[in-house]
Amino acid sequence: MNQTRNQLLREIQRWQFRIVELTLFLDTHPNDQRALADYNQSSQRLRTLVDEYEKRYGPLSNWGLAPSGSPWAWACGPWPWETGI
Amino acid sequence: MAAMRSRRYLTARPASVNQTLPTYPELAKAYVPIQNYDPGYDPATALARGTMFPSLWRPEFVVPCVAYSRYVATRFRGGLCR
Repeated sequence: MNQTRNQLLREIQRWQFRIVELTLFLDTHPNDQRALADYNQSSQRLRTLVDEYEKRYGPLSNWGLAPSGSPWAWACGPWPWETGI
Repeated sequence: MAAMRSRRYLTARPASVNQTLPTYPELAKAYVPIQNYDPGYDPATALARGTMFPSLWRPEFVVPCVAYSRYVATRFRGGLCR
């Protein structure tokens, strides 16, 4: 599979995990300004990465949040076990 | 409890513990100190370590990444239900 695609997917996973950590922290520290700033910055970064991925390779989820080229990118993309990640 | 004497536990912040523990902590009661924000790990390290907070990293509990069957075989010799 395309190396760049894998790298982009891995980078998305990293930022998603960071956001999971920040949301858990913020659940118990809702007024922590540094955590809030990091969360907002990370959220923006993740949005940029996901947009870039979906523009190039098609939707990451099938909730209608990303357009698809032809053929239908959702069904023609690799299955999770075919990504090698 | 060699782990309790290791460097990582010594780096816990006494100030924050003092803020969250009662002045006279009772014996046989569990206390959970509130975490300070310590976002030390970059996203790649955080994903690899399972936490983005150095204060929460516990390498002594890390299970080697092996196939589940092999993990069970090495960890629980003779199977799960010995």
